Order: sequence, then structure tokens, then C-alpha cells
Amino acid sequence: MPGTVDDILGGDMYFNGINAVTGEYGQPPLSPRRFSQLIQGKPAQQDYQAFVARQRRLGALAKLAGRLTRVTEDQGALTQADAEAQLEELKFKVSFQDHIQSSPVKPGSGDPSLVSEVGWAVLFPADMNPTLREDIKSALLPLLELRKHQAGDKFRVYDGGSAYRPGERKDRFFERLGISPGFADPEQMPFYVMLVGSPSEIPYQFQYQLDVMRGVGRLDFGEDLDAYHQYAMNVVAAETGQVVLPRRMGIFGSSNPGDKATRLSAQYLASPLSMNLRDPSLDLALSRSWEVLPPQLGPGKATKQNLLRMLGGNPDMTPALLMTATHGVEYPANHPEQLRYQGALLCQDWPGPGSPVRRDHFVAGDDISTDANLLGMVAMLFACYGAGTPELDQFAMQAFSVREKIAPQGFTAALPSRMLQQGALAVLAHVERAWGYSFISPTGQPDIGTFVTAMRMLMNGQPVGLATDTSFNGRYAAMSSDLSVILEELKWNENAVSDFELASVWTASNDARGYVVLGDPAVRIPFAKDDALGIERPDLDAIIMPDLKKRPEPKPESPALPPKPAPDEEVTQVLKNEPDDNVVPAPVVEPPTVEPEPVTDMTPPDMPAVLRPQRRPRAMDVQQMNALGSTSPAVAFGLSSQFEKLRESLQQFTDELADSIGDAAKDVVSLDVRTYVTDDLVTLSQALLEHDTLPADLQALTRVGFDGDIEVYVPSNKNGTVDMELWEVHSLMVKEAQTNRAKFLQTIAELAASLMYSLSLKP
Amino acid sequence: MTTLRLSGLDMPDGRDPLGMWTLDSPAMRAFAGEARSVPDKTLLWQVQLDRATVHTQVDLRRQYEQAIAASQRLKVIEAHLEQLDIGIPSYRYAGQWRNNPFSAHDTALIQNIELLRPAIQAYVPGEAPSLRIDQALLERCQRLYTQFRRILAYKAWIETDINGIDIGLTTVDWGGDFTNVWKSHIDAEQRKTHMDAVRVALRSRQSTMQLIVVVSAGALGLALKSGIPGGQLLLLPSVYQYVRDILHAWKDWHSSQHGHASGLV
Repeated sequence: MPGTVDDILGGDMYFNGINAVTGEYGQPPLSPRRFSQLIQGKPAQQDYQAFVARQRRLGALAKLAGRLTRVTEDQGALTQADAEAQLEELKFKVSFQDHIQSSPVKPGSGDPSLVSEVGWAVLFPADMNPTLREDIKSALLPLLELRKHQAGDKFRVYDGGSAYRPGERKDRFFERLGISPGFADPEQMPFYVMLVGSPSEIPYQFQYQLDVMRGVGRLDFGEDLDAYHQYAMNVVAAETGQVVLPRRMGIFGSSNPGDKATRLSAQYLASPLSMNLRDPSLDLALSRSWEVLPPQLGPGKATKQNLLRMLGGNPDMTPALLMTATHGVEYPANHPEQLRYQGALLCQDWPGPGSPVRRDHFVAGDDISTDANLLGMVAMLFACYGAGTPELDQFAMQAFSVREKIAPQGFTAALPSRMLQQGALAVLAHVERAWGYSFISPTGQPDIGTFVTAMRMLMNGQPVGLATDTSFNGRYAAMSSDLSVILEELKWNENAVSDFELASVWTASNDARGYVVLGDPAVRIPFAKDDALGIERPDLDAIIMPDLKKRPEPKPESPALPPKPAPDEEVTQVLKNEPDDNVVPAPVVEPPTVEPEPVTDMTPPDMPAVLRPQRRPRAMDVQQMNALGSTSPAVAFGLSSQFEKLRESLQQFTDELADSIGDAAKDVVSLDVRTYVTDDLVTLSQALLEHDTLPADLQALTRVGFDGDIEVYVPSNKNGTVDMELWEVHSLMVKEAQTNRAKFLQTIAELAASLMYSLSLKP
Repeated sequence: MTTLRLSGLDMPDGRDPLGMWTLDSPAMRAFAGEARSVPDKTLLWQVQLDRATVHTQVDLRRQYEQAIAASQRLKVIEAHLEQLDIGIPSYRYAGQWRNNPFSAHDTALIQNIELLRPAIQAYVPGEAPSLRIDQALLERCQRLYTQFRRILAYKAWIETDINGIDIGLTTVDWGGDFTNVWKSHIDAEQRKTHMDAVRVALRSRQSTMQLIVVVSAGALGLALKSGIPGGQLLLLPSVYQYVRDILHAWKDWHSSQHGHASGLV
């Protein structure tokens, strides 16, 4: 009999990740009580002593300058500010979860599963060597051309002034480029964004933040231009019909002896996920059935040998969609093996906690043969550091207020990089420590809904970036939002929630945040549309660059996004294993579609948003609005008559304006400035009102001709000499008049353009 | 003591959108001690001072700078309006853009747009039309047009009154022609004062016209973003209020920082 979650945990919480040098847990197990105290930054004396002792041991294993530094007040404040900024958007995502479940992009922006409608962008770091950047662009050219062909005017390259700048937060980046937070507006920035560069150039933190409301992936092959080019060709092959894979998915999960973490993941993640995916009708219905290979779980099955078979070693065992659940191996910062092996997948071959980790216990990047053909594969690796490692450990910062360097600098794991080079289109994996509670609800129940949603969307042909947005990013938002509420409540009531609940929500939030896409976020699994299973992958060398004009963008077969299942329902459905025929997509009331205006600016200007050049309404805007008006409910409501009144009023205004402009045009041939002097200003004023001849002598007249010629009537005093005082004032008035006219005509022209557009619009 | 009075304009809230001039909504003016009607199709800009001194010139100079500052602020507001994402609930938006000085005003504007949206989009095909746009809103729109028309199309009549005596009068017609009438035997300081008054009035008029452009283009842009039928017309009052409120808030803030209502940002 399998134990319950509580039985397995036995009171303590166990976390993913095994230190390959010590054979021990990277993060030792903790009671919920102690863990919850650490989350709140309240370490007990014994916690602090244990932390320091462990750091000394790790420091002795691999020397690294500045391994541990105290967080200064300023750094703490900055971190807090980052967190608050991020939390706002996460809360927004939660509050609009229903909408985002339907579409993560701004209403009316189109189908988020199609690059042609929501766009695609590549983002480079500003501090990348310009020569290398151009070389990478050349290497990626097939992919860039493909996406440009698909995205049209919603294709962007962010480099130069619009590149990511060192240390830049997402909100600062958005502000600089004039991009609004909230719903992804493809007109401002495409939904799919591929980062190119290492985490030291574009930090994971930025990727997490950008990923909240967009589909984001990362490509990081260092300076290996061949790898970039091969990857580009792989995606082109998949998107242009050169790769058609059997609809086959495989699950691999270790359950190492004496290890509660992998026992939990095998029993409550890998196994029920395998069951769930066998039934096309469960949860998010599959448009086509898939062959779910017998799961490689536990003793005798989750071996390194079998995993290598699934990774191209045996074509029949190499699925289109792969999911693994294992420990990831970790090394002390600066350890000579860290860059090569950190995040490698620890298989069943490892005897369990306390045992030395040998090289033949785990699958790393250099285990993947150069002959391995993973073309078209999308993989999900549930493992510590599976996607990569940041420079600093966030938990140490939170618990002990110290900056613990866990790597000399952030880096991308070698295994997924190698998989991408060997044909995989994308790898969804975890950055930093995977706490292992992604599939446990705060009340201690299994909850695999996030994984089910991601997998099923991928199996329905949805882009990876969209599948993760709906699943993991949604969970990250929900958990973070819950966490903020819990932490606030705990300030007032220490017993507001149980220690386990706080610990679970915290770990679930961090787990969900840490999942990132490596590769192009717009890729989708190129599976066979008919039942002719068993089509082989073409050789990587045989991929050609096709004529893109003849290649429309692939589309998913099912509705873009799933209805939102209640978390409890998900679990229930998994356990009951019953089909639910009643699941239908929720109706979505879309606002009228507005055609996008042409975008010609590939590189947004490098200046604050508020100082960017102003855009005036253009002809396309009018067409958009007319299109809008043609189906306007206002007409059906009988509102048109009211609008007509309004229009008449505006028309009158515009007519008068036009007349005045006409008069001004007639008069523009000259500008007259007249100066009079009088003892009786009242009478003269009255004459001015009545357009009478003025009862005063004209003292000065300046007429500025259209061609710039100036005629001057010079004032003189009683002696027949020029009244210099009056002349000086008159001259100043002439200057004022010239300035005034120029500004006036400019303003009127701008206004007239705007009004004319308004008048041409329909209600 | 310097007083700036503007007659012939009847803005919806009885306030000068730039916050510089006191609006005399009755179309009457005091001229040479007599009550007279404001000339037809004319906006009367009156600058009244106790006396013409260096201090009053400094004061007028500050007012002039205030009008220029308003123009600069309008450019910022226009750009901000263009960027404004109305798809985001305002309170989220405000929180997100942490350095956004317009947060509260964004909130109000987006709420106003949201108030219009459901009325329009709640239409159900096949059901009897029963929804009507608020008559008061339509009237506000029309009233605003009328005032915009006055600002743009009316002649500017600028008078300077020092201690109850009119010392200078300048009219500026549509073509830009100036007619200046000076009272005899005034000194250089008094002439300079009227010169400055003319500059303040004209710069204020230019900034107010610019405001109309910003409001008009802003309403059109938001209408396109919101997809509200007729929004380009119906949003004018909300956008006007938004722009005006930001200008006022900005001016107030600047005054609190510098102790007087002037100066460039």
C-alpha cells in the first residue's frame, strides 16, 4: 500500500537536489515549523549554526571569493522593491485568471497560439560583444526569417538601444521601451520572446518577471555558433513539415532507496500523470489520443541506461514529449564539475541519501551521444537546477539575510543545452532548487493539475510558451498572491495558518516560478495528424531551408486554451479516472477585432517612454475605427441619432475652424502689427469693437510679407523725430506677433488633423 | 497684487484648465470703471495690477513661465496618454508603474472609460434596444466643444489695468494681426507691464490650444484602444478632466516645492 503524503514525509519536509560531493540533500530536511520560521527570516540559533557549519564544509570543498556576504540594508530594500513590483503583476494575473485562462494577451490581440497574431521577438543583452551578437544573429537567421515570415509586422529584434541592460528590472525595461505592464499587448511587445544569452547577461530574475505575462524562452549556447545554427534549423524543420513525430509521450521517475523526495514525486506526480495522460477525455481534452509509453518508474526502470534510451539512444523509446522527475545533482560553488554536471538527472542507480554519487548514477549533457536524434522533442525535467543555476541562492537571502554564492556566475545547465543541440525544440526545466512541492497542495494533498494542463496543452499542439503561461506561470501567480496574504496575516496573528501551509505555499510559489523554457517559446511538438504512427525523425544533417512563402504557420488542433478546472476537480478526476464529456471551453466575449497598424519600427527608441515622439492618428486608425463602427451595437441601440447631434456640434466647430483657417490662409500673405496712442482709451476701445475708424493716429505699422519683406511705418514725435520708446515697444510686439502666428498655425494644423479623423469616424 | 481674469469662456467646472486665470463666466467686464459686455466673438484677457513695479514684472514673468511649463507638461501628458494601457485595471496599473506620477488620475480616467464600456458592450443581439447614453454626458460633450471653439476661433482681447486705469489694449485676430493701443503719457515700466501681460495671455492661449489638441488626440487614441463605439466623441469630457487635473496637481506640487506657482519643470 502506498503511503499518504504525510506518511511519506513523516513530519519533516524533504527537498529536491542531491549534493554530488557529499551525497546528501542539498537542503537538509526541515520540520514545517523551522522551515516556516526561516521563510519569515526568523532563524533560530541552531538554524544559523547549522547553516554556517554547512557553509564551512562547502567552502572547504571549493574555494570561491566572496562566497558569503551579509545583505546590506540597501540590498534588502532593493530586493523588497523588486518583490513588491513583481507581486503587483502576479496579483493582476490572479485577478484576471479567468480571462488569462482564455487568453494571456490583451483583449482583441488575437489568438495567442499563433505567432502571426501575437508576434515574436528576440532579445539580446546590451553587454554582449557586438561581433558575437551579429554572429549569433547570422547563425540564427533561418529561425529569424521563419518567425519574421510568420509574425510579419509583429516581429521584433531587441538589440542595441533596446537591448536588455545589465541589472535592469522588468518594469524599468518596460518603462524605457514604452511597454505597458499587465496584459501582453503584442503591438507594444510580442507575446513570444526569446532571450539570447547567458543568465549572467540576462538574469533569471528578469526571465521570471517577463514570463509572468508573456511566453518567454532562452537560448544560451555561449559562443557555439554551430549550436545556434543547428537549433535554428531544427525549429525550421519542425515548423515546415520536415519532422512529423508519432504521438508518443514518455515518463521517467526515480524513487531512490530511503529517499522521501523521489518517493513522493514518483508516487504523487509521475505515476498519476501517466494515468491521466492515457485518457484523452480527462481534464483538458486531447484532440487526438497519444501513446503513453509504460512509465519508467522506480527500481529496475528509472535507470540511467533507460533514460539514455529515451534520449535518442533507442528511437522506439524516444518520445515526442518526455517528462522526468528525479533529483538534480548539485555541486559547491566553483567546484570544477559544477558547470558540466550541475542539474544532471540522478537516476535510480544511486543507492540513496548518504551514498556517494558516482558519474554513472546520473545523466548529464555529455552522456547524450552526438548520434542521438531528438528532433522535434519537447521535454520537461523536474529536477533541481535542471535548467540552470543563478549566482545567488534566494533562500539564504530570505532566511539568513546573506548573499550566498552558489555559482561563480549564473549559467545554463549543460544537459538541456545538449538536448537542444541534438534536435529537441524546447526543454521546460527548473532553475535553482526545486523544492519538490509543485504537486502538493497547501493542505498536503496531491495536486498535479499544473502538470496536467501543461502536458495536455503541449499534446494538443500548443506552443510551449503558451502551455507554461497557462500552467506554471498561473500557479506561480496564484501561490505568490496567496503567500503575500498569508505573510500579511501572520504579522497580526501568528497562528493564522499552519506552519505546513505556509511552507507549502512558499515552496509551491518558488517551485512554480523557477520553471523556465529553454529554446524558442513559440515551438510546438510536430506530431502526426493522422494515425500513421512510427514516422522516423529525419537526420539532423538533412534539414533544408524551405521556401517560407509556401509554409503557413502550423496551428493547434484544439481551442487555443482550456477551460479552467477547479484544483479539487483535477485531483478527483485523476483518482476516479473517469472521462468528463461535459468539459467545454467557456464562452469568451471578445471585443471587436481591431486590425493592427503597421509597425515599421523594429528597434524601439532608447529613451524614456514619456519623451518618445508622439504619434498622431493615422489613416489606418480611421479604417480600424470604421471597421469597428460598422458592427457597432450603438447603431443597433438607436444611439446613432444622439451621436448625430454630437457630430453636428463637432461639425459646427470644425466648420468654423475651417472657415477661420481659410481666412487665416487668405491673410497669411501678410502679418500686420499696428500701434496707436490715445488719451481716450475707452472711446478707441468702443470703436475697435464696432470696427469703426479708430479715433487716433496710427503711430506705427509693420507689415511682414509672406516672402519675409517688411514694410514699416515709423512713429515720430512732435519734432518729427522717431519716438524711440514707442518704436522699441512696437518692435517687440512685432516679434511677439510673428512667434504667436507660427505657434498658432502649427497648433491649428494639428488640431484640424485630429478633428477631421474624428469626424470621419462612425459611432 | 496681480490678478489674471479671463472672460467669455464658460468651462464645465468654471476653472481655467491651466489653473492660471480666474474665469469670469458672466460675459461682462469692468472697463474704465464701467460694466460692459465682452465683445462679440472675443475672449477677454485682463491683467489687473495695483501698480507697475519691478515686483509685478517678476510676477508676470513667473506667470509666463507657468504657461510655458504647462506646455511642456502637456507634451508629457500626451505621450503618457498614448502609452496608457486601458486594458489594465487602474489600481493594478497604478501600482505597477511605481514612478508614475499620474497614477491616481490614470485610475480615474480608466474608471470613466470602464463606466462607458459596459453600457455599450452589454448589447445583446435580438433584444429590444433599451440602452441610452446619459443625456448629461452628451450635453457635457457639446458644452466642451463650444468652449473649445471659443478658445480657438475667438479674437484675443488683452487689457492691462493698473490701479483701475487701463494703460494698454492689444487685440489679436485670427490671422495673427496685432492692434496695440497705448494710453498717452505712460512710462516705460507701464509699457513693459502691458507687453508682459500680452505675452502671458498669448502664451496661455497657445498652451490652452495645445491642451485641446492633447485632449482631442487622447480621446481618439483611447477610443481606438477601448473599442467603445463613438468613444472618440464621448471620451472628450473624461480626457479633458484628466488632463486638467494633472496640470493642476502638477502646478500645485511645483508650488509646494518652490513656494510660488511658477517655474519650469
